[in-house]
Amino acid sequence: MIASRSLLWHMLRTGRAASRHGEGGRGRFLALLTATAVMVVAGASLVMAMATFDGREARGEARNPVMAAKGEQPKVLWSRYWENYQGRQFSVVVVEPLTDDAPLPPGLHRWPGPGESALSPALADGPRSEDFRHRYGKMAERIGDAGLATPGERLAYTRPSKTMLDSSYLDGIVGFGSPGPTFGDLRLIEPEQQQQLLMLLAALVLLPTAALAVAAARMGAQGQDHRTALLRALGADRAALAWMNIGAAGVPVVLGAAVGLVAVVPFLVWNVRLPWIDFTLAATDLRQAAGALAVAPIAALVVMLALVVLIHPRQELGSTRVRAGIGGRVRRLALSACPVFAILALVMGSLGGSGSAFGYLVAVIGVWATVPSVIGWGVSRLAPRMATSARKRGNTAGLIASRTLAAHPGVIVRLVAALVIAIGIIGQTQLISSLLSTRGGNPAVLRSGKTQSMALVQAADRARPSQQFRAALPEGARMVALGHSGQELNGGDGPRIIQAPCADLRALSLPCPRAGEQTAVPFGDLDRRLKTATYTYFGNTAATVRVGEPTKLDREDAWYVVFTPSDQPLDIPAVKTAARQALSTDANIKPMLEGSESFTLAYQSRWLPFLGAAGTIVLALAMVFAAFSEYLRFARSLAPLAALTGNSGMFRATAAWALGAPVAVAGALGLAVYAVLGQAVTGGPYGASLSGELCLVLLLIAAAAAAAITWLAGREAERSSHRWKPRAD
Amino acid sequence: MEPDAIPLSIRGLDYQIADRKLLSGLDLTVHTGESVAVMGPSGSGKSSLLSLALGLIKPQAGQLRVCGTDLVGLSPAQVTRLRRQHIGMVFQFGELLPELMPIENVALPALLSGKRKEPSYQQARRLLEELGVPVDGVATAELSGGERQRAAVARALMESPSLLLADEPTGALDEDSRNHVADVLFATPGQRGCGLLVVTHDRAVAARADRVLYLQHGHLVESAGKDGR
Repeated sequence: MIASRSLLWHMLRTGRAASRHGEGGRGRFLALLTATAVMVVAGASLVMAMATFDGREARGEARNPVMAAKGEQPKVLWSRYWENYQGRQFSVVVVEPLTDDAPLPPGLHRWPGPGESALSPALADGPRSEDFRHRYGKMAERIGDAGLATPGERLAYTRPSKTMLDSSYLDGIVGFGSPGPTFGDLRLIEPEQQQQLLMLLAALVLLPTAALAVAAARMGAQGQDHRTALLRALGADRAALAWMNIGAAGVPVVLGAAVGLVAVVPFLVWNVRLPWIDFTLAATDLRQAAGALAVAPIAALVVMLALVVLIHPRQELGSTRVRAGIGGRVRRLALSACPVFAILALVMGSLGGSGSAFGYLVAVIGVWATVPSVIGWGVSRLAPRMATSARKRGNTAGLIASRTLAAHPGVIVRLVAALVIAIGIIGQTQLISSLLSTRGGNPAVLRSGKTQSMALVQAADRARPSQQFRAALPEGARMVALGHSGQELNGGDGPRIIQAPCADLRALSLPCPRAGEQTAVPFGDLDRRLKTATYTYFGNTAATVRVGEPTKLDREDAWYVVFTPSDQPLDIPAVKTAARQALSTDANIKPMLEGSESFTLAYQSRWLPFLGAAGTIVLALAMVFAAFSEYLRFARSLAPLAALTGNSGMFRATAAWALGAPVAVAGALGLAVYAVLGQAVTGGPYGASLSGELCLVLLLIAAAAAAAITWLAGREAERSSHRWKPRAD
Repeated sequence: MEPDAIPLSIRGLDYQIADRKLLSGLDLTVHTGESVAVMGPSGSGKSSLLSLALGLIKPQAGQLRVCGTDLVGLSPAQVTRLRRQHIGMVFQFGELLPELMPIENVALPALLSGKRKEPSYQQARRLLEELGVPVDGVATAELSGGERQRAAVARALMESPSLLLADEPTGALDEDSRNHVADVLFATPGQRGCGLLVVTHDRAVAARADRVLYLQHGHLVESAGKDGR
C-alpha cells in the first residue's frame, strides 16, 4: 500500500514535471484550462436551465389565485388579461382588496391604492414613451422577485379607480397559491419546452464543448504519448500511466474548474441578464440549485482528466512505421452513413409535418457529424495526387503538405471538423430562425411606423360609455365604432356596421350618409389598414356605414377602431392608457399586426442564435486548439531543415498548404452542404430561407480563419526554428 | 571562399551559458579531406560546439572560420548564406520528414535554396543510389534506421558542402547499421574533398576518424585517431 502510494505520488510528480518542460507546454496548459472552464459553464447552464424552470413553476403557483368557493366570502376581487408590448404578451392583473386581512399577492408589500399600480422592474424601467408608470394607474411600487416568474418578466398589478372598478368582470378569490394553470410568462413557455431547451443546450452547447474538450486533451499531447509508450514498455501498468497523465494535466484542469466556478458564481449572487435575448436569470433559483451547480466543476474536472487519460492513439515504442489515419471501422461507418443521412434529410425536409421535422433534424445532425470524416477521406485520397502534381511542378511546400495530409488524414479531420460543425450550427440556426420568423412574424415589422397607425379596441360588456375614452385619446387620433350585424340568410356573416361622425368616417375614406340612412361599402373598397386590423374578428365582410356617435354596437363587446389619417403614426401607448383608464380595465387594444401570440414564437426562437453563437465560439476555440496542436508537430519536423537552409518563407508556404487550404476548402464545403440541406426546408410561404448574406460572411470568416492559422503557424514555426539546436549532449 | 580555404578553423573560442563556461580558448582545425571526431562526457559542450560551427549561437570570444570566413561578425542572413553554401549536417535521428519519399527529402535543401527541380532530383537520386538507399515509391518512415541515416547523409551532401557536421549520427542504430553508416560517413571526406566533424559517444565510430579529440574542461585534447591505433 505504502509502495503504491509512493508510486502514485512519484507518477503525479513525474507528469507534473514533464508538463512543465515538455514541448508546447504553455499551449497545452491554456487549452486544458480553457476547455475545463468552458465545460463547467456548459454543465452549469444545464443545471441553471432546470433550476430556472423549477423556480418559475414554484413562483407561478404561489401567485395563482385561490378562487372563493360557493358561499365563501371572497377577500379580493381578481382578474387578469393579456397586454402586449412589441409583440410580446404579458399579464396585467386587476385586483381589489375587499377585507382588511386580504392576503397580498407575492412580491407586493402593500395594496396599491385605488387608481394605483405595482409594476415589475421590466415595466417600471421600460421606455418612457410607453408610459407604463401611468398606464395602469400611478405606479406605487415595484413587484419583488418573489412575485415574478423570472426577474425580467413583465407583469403589472393594477387597482382600478372607484369609477373604473365595475368596468370589467372580476372573480372573487380568498388568497394566493393555487396549483393549476398559471399566468404570465409561464403560459408562454410550456413545460415541454424545458425538454426542448435542454435538447438545444445539448446540441448547441454541450456537443461543441465535448469537441473542445477532446481537442484540448489531444493538443500538444505528442510528448505525453511518447512518455506513456516509454513507461508502458518499462512495465508501467495502466494505473501508473493514468496517474502520470493526471499529474501532467492536473494543474490546468483544476485551475480551469476554478475559473469556471468563478464564472458561475456571479449568477448565484445577482440576477444576470443574458445579452441579446432579454432574459434575466433569477439568482434565487440558482442558489436553490447551488448543490447541483457545485457538482459542475467536479464533474468537469473528472471528465477532463478522464479524457486526458483515455484518449490516446495506440502507439508502440520504437515503431518506425507511419500509421494509417483515423480508426478504419469508424471512418468506414461514417463514410457510408453520410450519404444516407443526406438523402434522409432531403426526403424528410420536403415531407413537412412535425414527425418529419424531427426526422430532418436527426438526419441533419447525422450529416454534420459524419461529413468531417468524408472530408478527411477525400483529402487523404486527393493528397497523393496533389503530391505528385506538386513534385512535378517543383512546389516544395505543396509537396510536404500533401505528403503529410496523405499520411495523417485524421489530423485534418480534427481541424476541419470544428469548422464544419460550426458552419452546421450557424446554418441550421439561421434556417430554424427564419422558419420560426416566417411562422411567427418578424418583430422588426412591429417597430415600423406603418404598423402603428391603427388599433382595434375591444372592451367587454361592462365597459364604460365611449365618450370619455374618445376624449382621452391622443391629439389627432380618430375613432369609429364597429359592430356585427348578425348572420345572413345563406349562413355567411352579415356586413359589419361602422358608425362615427362624418369627419371620422371621411378620415377613413368612407362615405358620409345622411342622418338615419346608411351606405354599403364592399370589403374591397375599405381602407387597407381597416381590412387588416379587423380581419380576425370581422373577416372579409362588407361594411354598412352610418353616421352617429361611436358607441357600443354589439350586445356583448364594444368594438372601436382608433386611427390616424394618412398613415400618420398613432401614439399606441396613449391609446392604451386612455382605454385602461376611461373605457375598461381589461380593454383589449390590438395595434395592426400586433397581438398575435405567434410573435412570442419569434422571440423564443432568439434562444437558437444565442445558444448557437455560444456553441460556435466554443467550437472556434476547439478549432484554434486543434490547429495549434497540429502546428506543434508541423513546426517540430521542419525546424532543423529551416535552420540549415535559412529558408523561413517555407513555413508560411507549407502552413498555407497544410493548414490554411484545408480550412478554406472545409469552409466552402461546409457551406455547400448547408445550402443543399437547406433546400429541403426552403420555399413556400412558410418555408425557411437561405441567407446569401450569411453564406458570404461565413465564407469570409473561413478565409480569415485560414489566413490567420497560416500566419500563426508560419510565424510560430519560424520562431521555433530559431530556438532549435543540435542535441548531442 | 578562398580556393584552398580550410573548412573549419577555430581559434581561442570562449562560450559560456550563465556562469558555466563550456568552452575556454578552444582551438580546432578541420582540413579538407580530414575527419575529426569529438568525444566527451554529457554536458561537456559538444552540442554547443556544433551549434557554434553552424552559427546558431555566438561565442563570447574567439574566431570561428568556415572556409575562411569568420562567422562571428556576420549578420544572421550572412551566416545563413554561408551555412547553406558550405555546411552539411547529419542529425542524430536523421530529422527527415517521414511522410516524404527519400528522394524528396534529399532534394529538399536544394529546392529550398531555389535550385531547379530536375538537376536537384537527379543529384538526389544519384546520391541515394550511391549510398544504397531506396530512392522512391516508399515513404521515408518505412525505411530502416540505417537507411534513414544514410538518406540523411545524402541530404547533407546535396549542396556539396566543404564542411560536414554530424551529431551522434549512429546513436540510434544497431551494430550493422552503425557500421554501414560510419563507412559511408568517414569515406566522404576522401571522396568529396570536404572536412568532417563528428560528435559522438561511440568509441568505435570515433576510432574511424583521422583524429579523435576529447572535450574536457572547455578544451579539446588530442587523442590517437585511426593512424594511431
